[in-house]
Amino acid sequence: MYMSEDMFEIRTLNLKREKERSALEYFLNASDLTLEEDVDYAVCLMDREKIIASGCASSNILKCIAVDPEYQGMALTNKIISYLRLRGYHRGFSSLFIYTKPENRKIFEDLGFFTIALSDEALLLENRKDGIENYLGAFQEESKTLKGSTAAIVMNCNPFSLGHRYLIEKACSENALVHLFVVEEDLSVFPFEERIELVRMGCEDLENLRIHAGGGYIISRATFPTYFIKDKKIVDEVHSRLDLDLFGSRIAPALGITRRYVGEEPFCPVTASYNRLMKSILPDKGIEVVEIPRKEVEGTAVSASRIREALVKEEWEDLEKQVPPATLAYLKSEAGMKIVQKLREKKI
Amino acid sequence: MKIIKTGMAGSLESSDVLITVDSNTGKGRNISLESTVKRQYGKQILKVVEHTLDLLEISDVTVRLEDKGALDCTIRSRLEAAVYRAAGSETYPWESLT
Repeated sequence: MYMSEDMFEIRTLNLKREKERSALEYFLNASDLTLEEDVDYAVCLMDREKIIASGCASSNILKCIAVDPEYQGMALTNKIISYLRLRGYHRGFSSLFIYTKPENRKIFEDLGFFTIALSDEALLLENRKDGIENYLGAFQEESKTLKGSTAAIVMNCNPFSLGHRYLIEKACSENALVHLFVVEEDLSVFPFEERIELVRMGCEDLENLRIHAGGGYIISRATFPTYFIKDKKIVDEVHSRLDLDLFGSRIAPALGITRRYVGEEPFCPVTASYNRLMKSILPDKGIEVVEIPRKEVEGTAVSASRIREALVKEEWEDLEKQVPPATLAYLKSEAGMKIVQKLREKKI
Repeated sequence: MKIIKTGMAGSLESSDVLITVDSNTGKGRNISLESTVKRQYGKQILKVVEHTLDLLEISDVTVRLEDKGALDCTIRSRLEAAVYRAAGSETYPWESLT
């Protein structure tokens, strides 16, 4: 039978409706993809009542883009991407990102996306060529005239503690300039605006420290789609490699960064393996990885997870020893108490 | 007309063009073209873009075209729509352009 693309209806799904959600899930599973929890928009092409192509988004990250094999070769991806791009425009996003498999590079580059990071297993694209230059441009000037070494730290600061402060101080004392990137992705208990504000307040006295929002280029683990590889362990590594490629190949050279500081990770196995990978990848790109042992308070390492635990139990004396005054004041404020409430609910 | 925000119009479907218009205050026109038929029609497409911008009296602008083989009339109308959106214009004086 002759098929024309005009025969297909484009439809936005309401993912809150079980019927539509499960239809999309079923369709994605057939393409070895899973519908992720954070998807907030889904558009599909329908052949009568059957989904034949889909595209989803979680804020400005496009994902779950698939076309039924029987309908491939009709440029249906173009249609899907057009809708996702227009929707991104109407939502006011200045740029859109796609994570996908490296073999899809040509498809998305033909649809106006540019590769910004590549590893053997994954690919990150953005719909503008100069995105990363624009992002870095604002704090590039200083690096050019600088004498001495430049270091970088990437932190989530959930929330900002004396452990973070200790690591930052150490980096500041050993380098001429330190760029601190605070992970912007808002999937932590503490909202980004408040996390970075506490860092600013807690580091006011450090003159050679520059604090930046991580933007879209400091990838947070949480945003990384697990959809294209089913084994979670591989996903973590895939993500880490991509993130480190972006940092080592694009960000560090632009800012003259030759050192990256990390805290030793005695608790979280994911972060520990990320640190291991960092040590195997970054030195090849001319970046020394400096791992700093955790600051200890009464024989136990300070960690954000320990702080969150103490918060739930409202152990203020213990907290006082682990966080700087500004963070403590915030935790005791109304906004802080709301977070304690949220943490408690999560526990249950 | 003055560009004050991002404007977008069109699509990536065959015979269409997706145009993004942005401000470029004080730096003239910055036009980038990606096209499946750039080798054959690149110059002609840019001519249409320049001419349309002249008619709209726009001197400072960033225009990005992702062309999938659109005809001149399509390029012109997509560009007009993107510009009006980018200028925050509520009225569309189409007739003045013909």
